[in-house]
Formats: sequence, structure tokens, C-alpha cells
Amino acid sequence: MHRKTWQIDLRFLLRRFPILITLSLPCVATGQQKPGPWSIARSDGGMAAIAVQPAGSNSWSWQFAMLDVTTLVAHPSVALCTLQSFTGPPEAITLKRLQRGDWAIADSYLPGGTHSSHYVVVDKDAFAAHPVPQTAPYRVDGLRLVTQTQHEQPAIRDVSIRQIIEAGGEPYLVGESYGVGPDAPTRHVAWCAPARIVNDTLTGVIIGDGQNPHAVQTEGHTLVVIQAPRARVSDHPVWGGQLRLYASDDLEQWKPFPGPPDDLEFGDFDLCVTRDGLTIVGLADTNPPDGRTRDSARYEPALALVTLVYDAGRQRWNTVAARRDKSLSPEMEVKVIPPEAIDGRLMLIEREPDGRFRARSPMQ
Amino acid sequence: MGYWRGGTATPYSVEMILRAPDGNGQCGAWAELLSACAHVHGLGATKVRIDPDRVRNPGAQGFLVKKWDFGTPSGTGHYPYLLDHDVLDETGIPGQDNDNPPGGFKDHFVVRQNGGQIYDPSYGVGPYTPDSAHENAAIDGIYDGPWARPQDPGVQELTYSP
Repeated sequence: MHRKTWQIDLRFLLRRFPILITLSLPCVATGQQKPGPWSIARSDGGMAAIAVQPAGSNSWSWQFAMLDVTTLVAHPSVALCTLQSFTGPPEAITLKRLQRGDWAIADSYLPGGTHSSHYVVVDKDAFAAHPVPQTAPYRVDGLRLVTQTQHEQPAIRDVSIRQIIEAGGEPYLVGESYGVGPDAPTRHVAWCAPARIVNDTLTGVIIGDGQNPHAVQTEGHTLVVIQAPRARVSDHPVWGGQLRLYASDDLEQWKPFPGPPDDLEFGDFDLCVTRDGLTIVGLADTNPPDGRTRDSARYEPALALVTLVYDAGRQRWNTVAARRDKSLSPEMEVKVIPPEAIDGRLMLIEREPDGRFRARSPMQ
Repeated sequence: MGYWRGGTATPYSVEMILRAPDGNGQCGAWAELLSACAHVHGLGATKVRIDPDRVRNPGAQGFLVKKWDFGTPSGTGHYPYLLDHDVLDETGIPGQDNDNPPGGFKDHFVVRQNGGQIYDPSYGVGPYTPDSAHENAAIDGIYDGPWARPQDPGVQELTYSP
């Protein structure tokens, strides 16, 4: 194993879009190990990045770095913790700057036959210490539904935290799980739970059926977008799913919210609030076939990177842009940052094969 | 099809592994597949979850799947062996189309037939009776973070549910 020097180099090669951000994130080369996940979140006056990097043959490190896009100064990255995993890096990692300035971070692993997550809040003052102290994330293995008594075992033993939100000064976790009890039909569900972990277990409510939940908060409401379960049309692999939206005022009662047209099926997607309103950016199949056509192993989705904005008056989503080019692939990750982060515009963050990140308008 | 082939296998249900182009899945998918096959033939089969017994092993994060070579412990306490230093992962039990699956897991899924015998379709082994026979055949230790301890063959250190 060869350990490289940790450094971050942030450069805007062009002030106009596309902007290329070079992030030489911490890296320990270990041959053919799969690169870990990453995430970017807005902070006061800039951005922060969290990335998972190999720390050994069976261990992974959370690397945190502040990115000041105003001054273009990138601060050195900080290793927050090292976690054991024999099955590769986590599938996902997410971070959020809380109102009091602390950073909440969560990941999601597949360390065996079920998902398991870690969660921690890093005190903002911790970053002033030299060296920054290592954190010890909580392990999250179970989800107890609020409809159950406290004496029952957790109904769900598969916990994948996907996003952190905050309400009333308290962090909440949004995630997905597979399987609800041994006697219930096996299904994927999205849930929301206060970030209170007791005996490795959260207590929360189910939002709806589906996977890959994303949340956004606006005007006192929380909106969660879930990739709906895919209808079983054949034994051939299928790609994409319709998006289902749910809204809540209290993070306990969730009601259906108008979603994008059903003739759009999405792979990965993200959402945020822009000056135009609620905005979804996603990799979509813009011409999903019927079941008979999809049954063909030769089927390929008609990919486009679409941007949809919600028209609150008409309660419908309008497609304001659909980009089609050869750079789109079914496995593409879609991550956007809100307009406050860079130059007042919604930006799509992409990671290049060499580890660099590219920020550009999703419409271009 | 395969089991944890290439280090990362995302399907963890029978539907997901059958849809995956390379059929590369986890123990849960293999356990559901065997259970489904058994049900087709009218046989009783149940998906069983295996976890470390955390009463016997406080704080345990998972177990080490054969084969591990325990040397001299450099630490103290319940988990005195430092992984990859005091205890080393060796080529172990082959899995489905994978000669050397990952050396440790947080949990594992197998199949119990007719309320008794344990079959482990991920590795194509079984039947085992009682459960401790499967445990002794499958694991070498218990770990908590980077620290581990050897499994005691005379004591059941895993829980099988249901």
C-alpha cells in the first residue's frame, strides 16, 4: 500500500460554465479498490465535502474538507474516523451543516446481508483543534416503527441513512430499508426518524414505498422524493423508476404530493430549492416502453438529464430542460448544490474518473 | 451467478439477484433463492438471520469467516487481537463462483429446512444440526472495530433467528 500526501487543490479553470473544480481528495492507493462515495453540502459562504477513502485493506476513512468557493481557498482535509468493513466502502455518505454550526454526517454500508449505517455530529469547535480529534460514530442497525410498543424487537433490521435534515433545531434522518418484519411482504420503504439512537436503533415513521429517498425543506414543509418500486415485467434487468413525492409539516404525517409525469422514469436524481421553486434534476428515461418492449434484453433507456420545476399554481412539474449527450450513462450519479453555493446558480456536481469534480449547469 | 464476487455485490433479495446482469449477490439473496426453490417443491424452508451474540460478546460488530490465522495478541480485554496485524485473513471457504469471499460480516443469512437443519447456500454447504455445528464450520472469530478474538468452539457465539 502506498500512502499519498493528503491535499486539496481547488481551482476554477473557467469563471464561466462549465467550471472545473479540482479536488485532490485524500487518497490511499490500494490497487483496484473501489473508490468510496462522496457528498457536498452548503456551508456558510461556501461548501464542504465529505469523501470516503481506503485506509487499509479492510478499513475506510471519512475525509472532510471545507471548500470556500468565494475565495477559492480549499482547506486541508481532515480524517474524522476510520471504520472497519470487509465488504468494501460504504454505498453512500451524506453531511449537513446544522443550524448551530455543527456538522452531522451519516453513511450507509452493506457489511453483510443487511444495510447498516453510522451517524455522528461533529462539534464545530472540533475543527479548531490540532489535530482534529477522531470521532466515534454511532452504529445504526435497526428501525423501530412508532406504531409498535417499546418492548417489541425492531421490525426493520436493515437501515440505510440517505439524508440528514433539521427541524426545530433537531436533526432528523431520512433513509430506506428492506423488509418489514418476518411475516410481512418484503418491500423497500423510505422512512424518517429523529436522530436519536438507542441500542443501535432509531424510532421513526414510514414515508412510503420505494428507494433512494431525497429530502428538501422549504417554507416549513419537508418534501421527500422516492424512487417508486418497479413493476415486475420480466426477469430482464430494468432501469429507472417513477418518482413519488410525499410532504409533511411535522415529519410524522406524510401525504402524497404531485409528482413528475409518469412517462418519465428516473435513475439517480437530486433536488433542491432554487429561485424558480422546487427543482428536480435527474437522469431520466424519456421514452419508457411498455412491458412487452421492455422485455427485450436489447432494451436501452432513452437517457436525458432533465430539470423539472414545480408550478405551485397548477400543481404540476414542468420540464424546463432536457440534455441529451454521449456523456450520460445509466449509472451516472446526480448531485446538485443549491444556487447559494456557487455564483447564484443551481449546479450539477460530477466526479471525473481521475477523482476531480466538475461543477456545471445541468442545463448545459 | 456468484456470491460477493469482486468484493461488492449489491443484490440482497431473490428478485434483485435474478434481475442483476451478472447475478452477483449477497447471502440474503442466496438464502431467499434457496427458500424459493424449496417452496416450489413443497418443502418447508425459512430464511434465518445470524448475528454475533452481543450478550456474550459486548460491542461485537461482526464475525470473522474462515479462515483467519490468530497469532500473538498485542492488546488486552475481550478483543485483544489487532486485525491485519495479530490476526491475518487467509484463503478460506469458497463461495458461489468466488474462491475467497470477504473475511468478515456484520450478519449472515442461511436457510433452515423444516425447522431444523441449516443450509448455507452462499457457500453451498450443509446440512448442519445443531446450529453450533454451522457456526464451528463457518467462523473463526468475533470482531469489534479493528480488534478481534478467536471463536470458542465449545460455546455458541452466534444467534440464529428464527
